[in-house]
Amino acid sequence: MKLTFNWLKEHLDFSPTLEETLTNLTMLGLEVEEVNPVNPLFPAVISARIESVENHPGSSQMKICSVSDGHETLPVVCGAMNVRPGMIVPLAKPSSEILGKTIQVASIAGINSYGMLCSEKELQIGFDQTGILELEQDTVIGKTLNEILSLNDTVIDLSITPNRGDCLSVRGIAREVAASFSQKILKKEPPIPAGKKTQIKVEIQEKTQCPVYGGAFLTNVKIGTSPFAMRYRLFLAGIRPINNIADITNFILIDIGQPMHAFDHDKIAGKKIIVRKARKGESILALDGLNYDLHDEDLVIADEHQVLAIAGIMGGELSSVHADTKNVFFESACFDPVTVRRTSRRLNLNSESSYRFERGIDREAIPLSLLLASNMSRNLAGGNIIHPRINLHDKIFKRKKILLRTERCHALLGLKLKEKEIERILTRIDIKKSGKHYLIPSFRSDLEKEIDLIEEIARVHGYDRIPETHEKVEILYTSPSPLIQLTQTIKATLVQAGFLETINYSFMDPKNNFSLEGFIEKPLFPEIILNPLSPSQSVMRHSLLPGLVQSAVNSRHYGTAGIKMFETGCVFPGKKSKSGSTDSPQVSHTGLILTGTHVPSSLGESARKLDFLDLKGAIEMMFNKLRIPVEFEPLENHLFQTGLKATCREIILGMFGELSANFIKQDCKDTLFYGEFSNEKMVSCLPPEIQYSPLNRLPAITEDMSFLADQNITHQEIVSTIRKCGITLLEAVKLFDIYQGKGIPDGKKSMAYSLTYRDKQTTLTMEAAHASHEQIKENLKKELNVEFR
Amino acid sequence: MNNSYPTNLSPVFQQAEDLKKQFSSDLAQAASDDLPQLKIKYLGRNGLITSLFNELGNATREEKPKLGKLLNELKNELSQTLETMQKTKVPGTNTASYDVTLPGRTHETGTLHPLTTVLQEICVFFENMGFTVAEGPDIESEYNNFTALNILNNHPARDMHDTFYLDSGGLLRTHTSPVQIRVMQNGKPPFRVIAPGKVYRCDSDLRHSPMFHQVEGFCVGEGIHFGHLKYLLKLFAKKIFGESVKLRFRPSFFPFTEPSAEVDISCVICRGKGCRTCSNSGWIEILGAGMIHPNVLHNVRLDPEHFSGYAFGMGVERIAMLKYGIGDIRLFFENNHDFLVQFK
Repeated sequence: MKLTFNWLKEHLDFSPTLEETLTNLTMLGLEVEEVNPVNPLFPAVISARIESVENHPGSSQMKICSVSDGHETLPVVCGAMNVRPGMIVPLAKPSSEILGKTIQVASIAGINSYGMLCSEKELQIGFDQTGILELEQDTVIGKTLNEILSLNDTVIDLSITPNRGDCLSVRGIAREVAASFSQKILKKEPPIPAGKKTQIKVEIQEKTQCPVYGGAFLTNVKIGTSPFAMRYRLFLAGIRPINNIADITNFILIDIGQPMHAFDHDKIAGKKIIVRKARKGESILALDGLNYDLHDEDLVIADEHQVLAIAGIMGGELSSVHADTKNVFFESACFDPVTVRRTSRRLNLNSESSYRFERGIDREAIPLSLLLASNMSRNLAGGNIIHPRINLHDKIFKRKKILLRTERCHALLGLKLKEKEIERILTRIDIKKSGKHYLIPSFRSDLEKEIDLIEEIARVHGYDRIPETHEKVEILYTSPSPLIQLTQTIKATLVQAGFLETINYSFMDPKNNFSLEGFIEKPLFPEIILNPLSPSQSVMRHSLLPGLVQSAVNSRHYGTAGIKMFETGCVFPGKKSKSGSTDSPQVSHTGLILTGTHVPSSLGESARKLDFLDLKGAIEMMFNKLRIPVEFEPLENHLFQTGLKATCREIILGMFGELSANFIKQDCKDTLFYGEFSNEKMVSCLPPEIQYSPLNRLPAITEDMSFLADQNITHQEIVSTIRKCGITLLEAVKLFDIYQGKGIPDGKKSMAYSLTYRDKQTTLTMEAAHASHEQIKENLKKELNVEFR
Repeated sequence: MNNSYPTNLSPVFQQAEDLKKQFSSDLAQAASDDLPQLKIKYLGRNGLITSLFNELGNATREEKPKLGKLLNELKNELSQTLETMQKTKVPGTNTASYDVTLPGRTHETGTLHPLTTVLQEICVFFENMGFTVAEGPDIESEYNNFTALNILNNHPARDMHDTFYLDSGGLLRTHTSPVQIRVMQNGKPPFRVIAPGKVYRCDSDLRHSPMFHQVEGFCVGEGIHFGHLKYLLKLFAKKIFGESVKLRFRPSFFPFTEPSAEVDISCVICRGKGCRTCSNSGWIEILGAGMIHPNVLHNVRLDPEHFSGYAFGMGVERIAMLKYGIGDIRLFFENNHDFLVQFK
């Protein structure tokens, strides 16, 4: 809601400063969005009279005006078409600045021009740029624009919450300002003009949706431009001036908040206004130039033949006020908020009027609006007023009554106010006590219950005056869910392992319709967003993969050498059937991605490509930290070039590996290593609390072995062959070297293991350890055909 | 040799001086393993200092107290030096043999996303205040997200939420407030719950992201009032933004609370003087709060005459942006490596 400070002050009989006004508005819940002082300074723009107008010999698009400022008469070349002799105009003299440009004496198509005649738009004091601004005929020439027009003001933009329809007007805001100073606003009491009653008959067919319909009738109006002062006010409030009659309705809308509409009286067929539901097949060409098909739920204003306006939203083009309109019919009515809102949303048609009806208007202001419109029209359009007439369905406006219990107010606010104090506070905002109840003024349609009054008391008294106290409430400790705890452990571990946490959007491109068979299935019926911001964000992700790949590839493009990223977050497996329930399941996953180069973090390390084992190491670290006994099994999947699946008690916890090159269509030359795991499944595999096992203080003996093995033999095969020997003394097996290359025959690799032996009952002898070690070596030779070195 | 003592003094003075020099040179060459030997050489029972003390008997009456004092000082100095050296020398190395300014051996750690860090800080505060963390789904029903929270259809309050709707009939929750409904439907008061999570609105620019994070908190019990809410949030703001931060409660409107408030903190950038961040107001809005509306309590079958409660909600991105001085919300979801590593 935009208004100006001068406008606001016209409703007050005291003069608050701007600063205290803004502070008070803020603390009353009317949020100040922006404050813009308007003080255009035009020292070199003065009023001048056009003495004569000649055609420009060099250009048919231009005129040469002889312009007098009272001292001298000089030629000014001008491209506007509205110049004529005798017109008083703003003249920007040479060296003045207009729109950031300095005006100079210049030759325009061969004629010297001594300045520039200005439009409103060029002076930034209005919207109009079609011609030169015409000043009032009685304006003294040779004066600066600042002396002639009172331009200084302050534009205040307030953000009004949807419950406060009453604050969508200057008067409404003035009421709040006055209340904050314990004052009252000035009452507007325009004279009631004498005259005959209107010829127009009003028939209201939908009385619940249009409880009040009032009208005023004017004859012999002259449609034209409103005076500058009126246009300037509307301009500052962000409203485009149209013509004097339309401007009057817009002025009243901003001034007292009552939406009005002006009809061309002579276009109302049968001199009859009918407020009814639209009929099937009816449509209307609205003032915005668009045609709207109406629905039988829509409330319309019609005459005997056709629809004239969509009630409370927008008037029709055909019955609107035009340049040749002679007689005007003003409508001021009250329409049901829900009806207006429903139609406005269905037609996707919003207006200042519908915005106010949706939020509730003040019925009691309807007669005032008609009086104001009539009086203003007589002043600005010279019309004869035919006595404004109000058609009131229920002539007596019943005011709401609300019961307020003082102790309830204490209990909810923690503030002990005496009954008298409460009464005083509410009186400031025109809520008066009547017995045990409070009477609600007609403009506060938002106040319905006791709680609403309690809020008003707190608001007007001041939230800052409510004392802070500590509550006494029983604390029931509940630990966070295992899933929350697990994701926290995973995050901490992966951060330790050198991974950066990412957060990607929950939506993705529907083109990402891949599966990780046995773990992530391509959704049969994915969660589709009906109103996405873009097609690439139109479906809920079923995997963390697309987001992580995107983040990794983007960072590589920015030149990061090595990427290690992860995300824990929700994915959406989609529905089982098309008519899936609304409570669609979502599951929590962890994804890891790694690509590029390992950047050495210590001296002596060398740079190398990040690879599968870097990913596997991080995953092992994660499972170790969670103490989940996980097994890795080979994986056949089109998504992975090579991969493993992680299982625990036959449950697939997730998959990881090198992403297959043809899956990564993105512009990325690097090999990507990726893994994704189900957090819920990991929770189901969490082991019980750690149990201490007695320390074994008997000494252990470690023996190493080194051999050449066929390069196809895996580490896992060697370990299981060692384990298969069933040596009870064997405590641990550790691979400590692996080598291929110079000095090793082709097709072979050199491996070295360190085996630890310990007897849990007695001190182990060298002989016993050695015998076991030899037995294992024999077995490796026999089973895997390795050659010991 | 520069003799600093008058020649008429006993030579033991000169010997003491020489001993001191010898000690310094020995010490410079010693590795830490050698320190015990050094101690024996100088301070041991048959050490060099002890032998000087033996010379004390040969000194004159006048020299005796001076010499005694000198030797005692020397002894203390040496033993103190040795003691400090023992503590600081790295075993097995000589001071001169390595460059202590080289970077240490380490491994690169990663980092949490700045939003996670801020979210955790918020949650830890409320957990310490006796709140329990609860979570709800991102895909919600119309009822939980709107109707149960007193945001009725065909009311302009709906316009405050630009909602993403799903073809299944559900929607992406526009706030974390539906967790209130879920928790209260399935439990009994008192409730003290904090609910972090992702929320969605169709909006995208420097300050708006179609997905962002909120933390919802609420407390329901007997006798809960607005003063309690003010107390809690004041402590919270001090925890997150520092002891000196000021708090301001402004009336506002949310359909699910009444009275409703928007809570501002004194601007963290200009400390209330007025700057670009606070649009010269000196205040920055950080959260919305209020007393839970009786209709909401009624909707979860709690008697509003018996129970009351407060609720509050805040945008995590907003707090993170203020804390770290980030100007564009979209950076959080771009996950650029160089952005993320700044929060280590």
